[in-house]
Amino acid sequence: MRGYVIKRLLMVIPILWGVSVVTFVMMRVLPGDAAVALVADSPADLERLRASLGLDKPLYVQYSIWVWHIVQGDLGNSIQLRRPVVAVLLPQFVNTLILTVGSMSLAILVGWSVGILSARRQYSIADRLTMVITLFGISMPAFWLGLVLIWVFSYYLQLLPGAGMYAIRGDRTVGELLIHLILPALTTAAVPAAIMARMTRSSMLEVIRQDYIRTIRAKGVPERVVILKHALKNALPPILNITGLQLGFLLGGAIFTEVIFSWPGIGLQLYSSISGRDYPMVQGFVLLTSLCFVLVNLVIDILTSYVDPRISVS
Amino acid sequence: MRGQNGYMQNTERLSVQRVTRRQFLRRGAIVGGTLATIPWFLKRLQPSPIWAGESPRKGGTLVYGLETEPGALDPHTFGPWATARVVMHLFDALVTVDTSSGKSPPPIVGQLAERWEMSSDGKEYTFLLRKGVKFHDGTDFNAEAVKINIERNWKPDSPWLYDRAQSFTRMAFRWVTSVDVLDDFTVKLKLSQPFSDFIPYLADKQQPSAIISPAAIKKYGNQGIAQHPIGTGPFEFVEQIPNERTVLKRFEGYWGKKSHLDRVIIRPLPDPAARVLALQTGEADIITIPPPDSKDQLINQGFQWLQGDVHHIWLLNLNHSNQYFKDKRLRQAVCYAIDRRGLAKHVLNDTVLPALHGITMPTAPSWDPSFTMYEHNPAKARELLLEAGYPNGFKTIFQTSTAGSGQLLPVPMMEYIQRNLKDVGIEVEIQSFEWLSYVGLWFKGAPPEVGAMQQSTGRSFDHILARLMHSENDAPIGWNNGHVKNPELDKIMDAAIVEPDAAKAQQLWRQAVRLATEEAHIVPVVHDLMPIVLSPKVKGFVFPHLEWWTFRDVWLAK
Repeated sequence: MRGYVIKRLLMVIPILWGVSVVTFVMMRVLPGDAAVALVADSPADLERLRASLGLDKPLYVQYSIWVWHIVQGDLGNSIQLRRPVVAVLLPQFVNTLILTVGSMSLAILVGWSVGILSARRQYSIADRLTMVITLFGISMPAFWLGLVLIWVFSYYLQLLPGAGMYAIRGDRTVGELLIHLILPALTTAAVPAAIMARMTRSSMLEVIRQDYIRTIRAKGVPERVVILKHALKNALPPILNITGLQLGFLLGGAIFTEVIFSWPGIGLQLYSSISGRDYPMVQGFVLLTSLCFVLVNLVIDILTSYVDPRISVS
Repeated sequence: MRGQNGYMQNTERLSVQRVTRRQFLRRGAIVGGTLATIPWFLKRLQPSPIWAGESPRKGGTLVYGLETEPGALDPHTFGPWATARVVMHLFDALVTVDTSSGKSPPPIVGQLAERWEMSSDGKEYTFLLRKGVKFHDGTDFNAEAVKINIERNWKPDSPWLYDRAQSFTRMAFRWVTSVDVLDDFTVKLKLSQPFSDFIPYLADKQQPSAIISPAAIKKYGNQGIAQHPIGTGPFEFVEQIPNERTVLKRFEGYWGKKSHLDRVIIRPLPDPAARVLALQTGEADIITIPPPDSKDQLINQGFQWLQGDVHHIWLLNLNHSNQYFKDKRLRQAVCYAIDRRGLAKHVLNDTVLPALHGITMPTAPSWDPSFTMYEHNPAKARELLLEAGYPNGFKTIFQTSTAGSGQLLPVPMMEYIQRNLKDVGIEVEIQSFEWLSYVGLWFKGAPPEVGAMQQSTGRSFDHILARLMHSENDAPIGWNNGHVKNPELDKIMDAAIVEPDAAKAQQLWRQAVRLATEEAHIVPVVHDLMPIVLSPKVKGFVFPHLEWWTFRDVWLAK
């Protein structure tokens, strides 16, 4: 196991290198650059600004300088905010992590439960209704759902706040945070919950048709134990995989949710950094989220091998 | 300035009872007489501005829902007007625009310079500085601070030079040859030639003449000022958490009138619907750039919707190197074909002014409402097409962005123009681009196959017209991306730029505007009225007639 983990961790290096090259080139290929974003003034001034930002150097030189700094643990400074990229990204990553944990807990709770219940009563009205609702859940754009939730709960009912992480004039308490988390977490959870519900249902259906389940039932084992202990355990690997994928995506920042709810996470930062062609910020962001994605997948693979010993990590 | 208070409708149950004719007439007369006096009372009860007569309340925190993250707060190195609205609170400048006057155009006044004198040849400016002014770090403001700050922007061999600042303020200092400290509170700037818009440039966004604490520059370096913005402004910097909040507090040592507010929190709210909701739910007290279709609702709910003239023009740079638009008649045909009033009403809910007074901006000296040109006239447009040899019209390409600074609603607006032009036979293909991609293309200038590139710009002074239309600024060197080459226009603008007499310069700019409009070098379409929406409890805010202002005079009612 240790060897496998070390091998997977070493694989992170070529993955991050590949991702960094692709991001670096793609950002430079986009028309309009960081200097245009900063000044939007005359082209003569732009050249001066480009030189001051080091954007006049050949691409390979710019890339080499950036990589050299990364090797020394320096992701560079944000062009727009003029602060170290790490200093900006880390607090925002924590904010995104809070949103992700909130929405994934919700998605797992709803998605897994609904999936299990649907599988348990296949072709019942509840099952059909669930499948229709999850279809809506998958198709529903976050920016639309978010606005609807804000309108209903923040504006019309005035029950929940619809912007930010804390009350703007109040203290930064955990209570405030939890209240502010409800609507963004609901918005972000909709799609993963729906996907997980459908995946859980199909995986469970496959398992509960197996002979061993029929045997357990014939032995008179209570249905709750059959489902939760024997069926779910065997249905878990694909569900865990899809959960891991969703988690990875969410850690990359739920851009729409963060923009609509003004949630100061890395998704919102990415949106403004791409809009402003803030190269060091975008590159730093991609490195960070790629690392998260790879690590989450590694953890999920290890978890899967524990859940189902037939699947060997090696 | 407009503002409207909300009202509440009360209904009550009326009991039906019998009345005599005499009673009916008597009561009718009383009710009628009372009703007749209501307008008289209302007229007297409607003071302007709406907070007149109320005493300002000290204290409180004002939350401003800004449309974007303000970014780095170095006063010499920012681009967007949104950033200016934050930086203005932290830094004073030698000269500024008095946004609290409520006048259009707002006058330029001395701020850290009590006054200034221009030599008769227009080549020397002497600034007499305010005494007893302190920076937020407790150090004193003096002439040396002014010299250091100007050198930071301009002087190539100065140890204070910040190359990034130079890229933002070059236009202001392009003809400056020296900055001399005459005594502790007097500074003289020499120019190589007269520049009629020198003072307006210094006051522009308070950027070129903003004064940073020299001690802070020494301590934090040029790059560090963005995180340690220490000036002499009415507010001090507290903290900036990107995409969450920027917090300012009242500077108790301010030399001028101190703010009524304890704190100002600038909260980035990039989504327009979220901004409106934040205002409605009390999570913001002021928002800018509200969606035009929220106007009626917000007014009916009692919010103060302010709008007015600002230095803005949304225009089409017709491409003079294009096979069609090198012909003046076809350029004029486009000008006549566009229904600006319809566009302002139907697409932008009257939050803009139809641009019918030439290629200029409402608060610029060349603005002359007595001069009107190109009212919607499709028949005239068709006649011009016929005269130019295109009775069946032609096909062309217009480019714009999907969004962007000052762009309003570029695609719906362009689609409206597309329908207008189709009515006279001109088929327009609209090409829209993401904002920065578009700016990148725009700087390169219109290629021959493109008929027009849309843009929006503006300043409260006229030199900007030369940047848009002077042949020496032809793209990709300058902003003249429609490749206008008109020697007569160049000559008038050259004379206006170096004319030291303001009245004479104004006449020359007006002459240039009339000529350029007659030649239809550019199609002026609308001027933004820059709506600002305030909670009913926000008092003391005067519509600034600019894209930036300070909250120094604002207070919050209970």
